[in-house]
Amino acid sequence: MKVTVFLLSILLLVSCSPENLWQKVGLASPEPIEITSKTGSPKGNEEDEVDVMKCFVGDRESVVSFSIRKPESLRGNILYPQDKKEAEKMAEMLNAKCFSQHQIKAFLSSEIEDKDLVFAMQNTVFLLDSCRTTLIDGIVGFLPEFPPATEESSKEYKEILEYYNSIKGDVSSYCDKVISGLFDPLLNLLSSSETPTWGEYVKCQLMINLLSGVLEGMERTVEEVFEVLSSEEMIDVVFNLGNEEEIEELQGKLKEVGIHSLLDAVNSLVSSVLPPLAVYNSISYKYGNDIDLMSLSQLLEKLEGV
Amino acid sequence: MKRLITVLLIMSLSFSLFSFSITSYRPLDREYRAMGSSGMSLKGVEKGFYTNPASLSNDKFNLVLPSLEMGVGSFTEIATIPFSSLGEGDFDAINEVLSKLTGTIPVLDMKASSSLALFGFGASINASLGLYTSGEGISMGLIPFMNIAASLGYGHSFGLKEGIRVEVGAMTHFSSFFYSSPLGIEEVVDTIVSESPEKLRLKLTDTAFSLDLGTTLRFDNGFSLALTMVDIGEGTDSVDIVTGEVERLKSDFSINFGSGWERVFWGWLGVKASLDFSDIVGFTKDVSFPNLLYHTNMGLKVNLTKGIGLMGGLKGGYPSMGAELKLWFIDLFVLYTMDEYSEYVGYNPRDTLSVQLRMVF
Repeated sequence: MKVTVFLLSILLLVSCSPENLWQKVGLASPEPIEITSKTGSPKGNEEDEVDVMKCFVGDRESVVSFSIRKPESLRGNILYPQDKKEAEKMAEMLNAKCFSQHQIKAFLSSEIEDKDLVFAMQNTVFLLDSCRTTLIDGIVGFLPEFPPATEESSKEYKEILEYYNSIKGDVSSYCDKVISGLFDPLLNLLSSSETPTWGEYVKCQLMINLLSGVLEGMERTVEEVFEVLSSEEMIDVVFNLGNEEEIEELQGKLKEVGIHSLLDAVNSLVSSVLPPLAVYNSISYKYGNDIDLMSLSQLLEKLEGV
Repeated sequence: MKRLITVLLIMSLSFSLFSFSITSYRPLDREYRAMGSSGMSLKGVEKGFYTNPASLSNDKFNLVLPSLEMGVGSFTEIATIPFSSLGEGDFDAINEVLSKLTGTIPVLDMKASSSLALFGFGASINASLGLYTSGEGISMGLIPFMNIAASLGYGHSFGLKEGIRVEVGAMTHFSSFFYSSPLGIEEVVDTIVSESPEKLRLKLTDTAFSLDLGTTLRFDNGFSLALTMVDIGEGTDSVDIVTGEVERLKSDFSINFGSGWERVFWGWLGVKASLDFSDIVGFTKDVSFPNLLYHTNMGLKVNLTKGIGLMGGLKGGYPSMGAELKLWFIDLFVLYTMDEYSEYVGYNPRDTLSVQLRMVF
């Protein structure tokens, strides 16, 4: 009889959902929520310059580099993107089973006391506002320029060139939409708040992680396209245009490059964006309304139509 | 664009940058697991293989051939999945599924094992096949894995003085871990466009050697005390299946203490109770009452007859329970356990429901 009561007691105390019994009865307390932010000084080659890619993608060798003049309003540190483990740890904390939704919401509504973190958030927003146009121009600028068509150029070459330039225009338009979609919520974020909350920090950090993923994906795309187009084979074909057979070969090569690059672009972009998008989703799914964060489906709708 | 991304999200199997490896494969005996990972001092030759090598001396002959077990992880979460909505392509329903399968957690685990204990010598071979989730929601990875372990050891019992026996034992383990290369996004797109996907292949990521030592003090009145040192070894080199980087992992060495009591009443009612203290070294890093609770495991087993047994326990505050049914040489075991999958207690507990069938001689 006593054994039955003992077993039933355990069952009742830990029923319904996985929980730690000692925490449930109050003998032990869970580790409090503590989100470690990542801040640092804006990186640049000169003192009055900021290299945007190095700040948001990482300090490493790359064909892509965007530098802007450091905005006067930017003084002090900025927020860096979290790496995958740090981001997932933040998601794990906010989804911890030992805290009720009420407790998590209370944490997200609490004000940030660390003034350095608040300044870093504001500085990051200033920086992003300043470099928006430069980013888009820089990405598009790395797509190679073909020699302009002249009166002697063949009809086929003119058609191919027109097609290629329209692709470049689409890329520029797409980059503008993506970057605006990411930047605008951030720019509005701290405009009316001098004492941001932890919820606003989480939103800011998620968007910066997402931006980092997008920039890294674009960087990889540009590197891959650059590698293909600068290959000896391609240069040889382009600069030795002659008879119809060689023009056909160029058309075929460009189509191949176009398809290959498009696939690589999808690969690179999606594979870089998925990890921060996953963390974004796991937090927005539960607390999106509380911290005014778009759900994943809303975010995808914003990107739709490209 | 949205449709493409949605399709890629659903098809993004095993895309993860998680480094995933463990130092040794330890398929613990089911009674120990059902009793809240306690009972290392209790009698039972099967404990000798992965819990307390001194237990190898408990029986002159024991053959398990074979033992088959299947477990479903995150059982409570999976049971609440809206399966009917999934078929309708409901995005929110899909999202709810993905949000439940987060972290590095076993979803499906199938084990097979065989063991022989003969006059103190023990040999066993264990294998498991399964699926782990890896990642956070939509970048979820489903990583197929295979573990193989072989163990060889010896246990000996001798009288200390009247009414007290001492048992000592040692067990060596050789474990190998194989994980499949995850399907990356590149392969998924290649599959759609060129119809030439890379094949899944199992890669050897870890091999580990380790040693367990154990000793038990057994009293005639049913009480017992045990001390074990498990996973003594140098650790292992583990290969990240995505990046190919090699990481040196330390062994999961621990010193554990256990106490127990067992008795049979009226020839048919068997009762076992145990209180163990796990990872004494780990506890010394944070000496506090809550941490003491997290390192304390306790359990109870009642054998209603020789063929029916009920078990329950608490492992650091997480419950477990089991029921066994024996008919001649066949036995069926149902096991429910809960484990923590975060570095912080309480953050990410997941439960597992397992069923085991075996033949014992």
